[in-house]
Amino acid sequence: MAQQTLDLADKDFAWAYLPEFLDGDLSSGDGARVEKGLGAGDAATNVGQEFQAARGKLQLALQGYYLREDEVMKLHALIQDPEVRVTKEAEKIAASQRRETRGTMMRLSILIAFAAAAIFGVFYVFTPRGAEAFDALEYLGYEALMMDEDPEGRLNLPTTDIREIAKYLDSYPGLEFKPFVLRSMPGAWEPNGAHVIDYEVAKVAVVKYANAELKETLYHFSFAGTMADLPKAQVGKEKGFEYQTYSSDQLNIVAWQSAPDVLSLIVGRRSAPELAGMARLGSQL
Amino acid sequence: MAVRRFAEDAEDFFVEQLCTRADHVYRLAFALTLNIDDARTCVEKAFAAVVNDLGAAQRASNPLVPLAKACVEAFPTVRGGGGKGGSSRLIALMKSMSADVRGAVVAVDGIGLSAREAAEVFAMPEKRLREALAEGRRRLVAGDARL
Repeated sequence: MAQQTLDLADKDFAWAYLPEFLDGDLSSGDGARVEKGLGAGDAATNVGQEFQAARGKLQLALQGYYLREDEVMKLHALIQDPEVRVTKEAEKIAASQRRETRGTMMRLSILIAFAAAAIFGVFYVFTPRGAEAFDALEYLGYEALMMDEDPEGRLNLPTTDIREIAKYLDSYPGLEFKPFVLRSMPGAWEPNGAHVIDYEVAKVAVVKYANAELKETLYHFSFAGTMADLPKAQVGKEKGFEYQTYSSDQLNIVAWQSAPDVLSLIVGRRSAPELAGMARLGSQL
Repeated sequence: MAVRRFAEDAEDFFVEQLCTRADHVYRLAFALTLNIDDARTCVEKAFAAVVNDLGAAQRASNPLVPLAKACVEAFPTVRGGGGKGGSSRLIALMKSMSADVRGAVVAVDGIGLSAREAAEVFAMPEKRLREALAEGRRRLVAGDARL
């Protein structure tokens, strides 16, 4: 449904409703008014792109302003005794480790069951079969759908603090790569938790993002690999940022090389160009 | 320091929903004060004010709104010298705008409040907020190269 607008002077209307215009949330009449205010022809498109770039730069510049850990702890102390906080954090970490152990055991059980079935199949038909490679698009597309359908207990670190997520992934034991974290996301997209999936053949770091306004989620997976590991696909390029896009009937996937040995996938229901824009913005830091 | 006693769910709400948004409040406070020390004081005052009425914050649909509102209310009491700390290019751009205008543009385009929420934060009609936002966005695009 088109957004209700306020009666502003022509010179202000276009700029006041520019994001809604760019997102296609205005009625055709209001959209025409914005286009008129920004100029005919390509002028509206150009101003829209300039605004999006400037807004991205503003958000990046603001990312440089954050409170130190001791300053945040000082805020915590307004309501919670520091000793109690330490105890509660220890309990949370212990609970998180228990959940992680349970998750690992469950995955291991599933893998053992699959392995047993595979061995039985091989024995039955007397035909040797090779080990399957890690099919990132299939596995991680499936993980994203499952985490959306049944999110309870799937993330070992349920937090909205991106620094906490970065610290968790950086210090995760046994990862053979340095996970890449998108530190800047546009609009109302906020981090919503993190997890490391252990597939035996590969470990995958996942960061969940949620947008309360859109009531949508998306997932950023990173793991050891290169673009050559993925099937060939349409290559996109925006301001030097190169990526490949894939889609299913429910999800879009944008893949890019976030570090020389790290492959990143951003998976969600937003359009591929929008997902690529988020990846590019988050990769600028 | 004496710590007041709160119900556990209120403590969890404060830590998980409010403290995690402290950086957003700090950025808004910096946009208003243009001074990192004043911005920190503003954030501390905002959190102290919200602690006094945690129930209202828990009822808010977006927990950032009561915090940002308390920050805006604290701003006149901490106003010191401007232009200290952080990115001088950002400060130069912000200085080209009035406090209302840079507050509106940072609240909406910087930390993700809706225009309606920002109007509530600045206690002004949404129409006036939108006018300030339009002015701020024009200046933001014009000063883009500075960032």
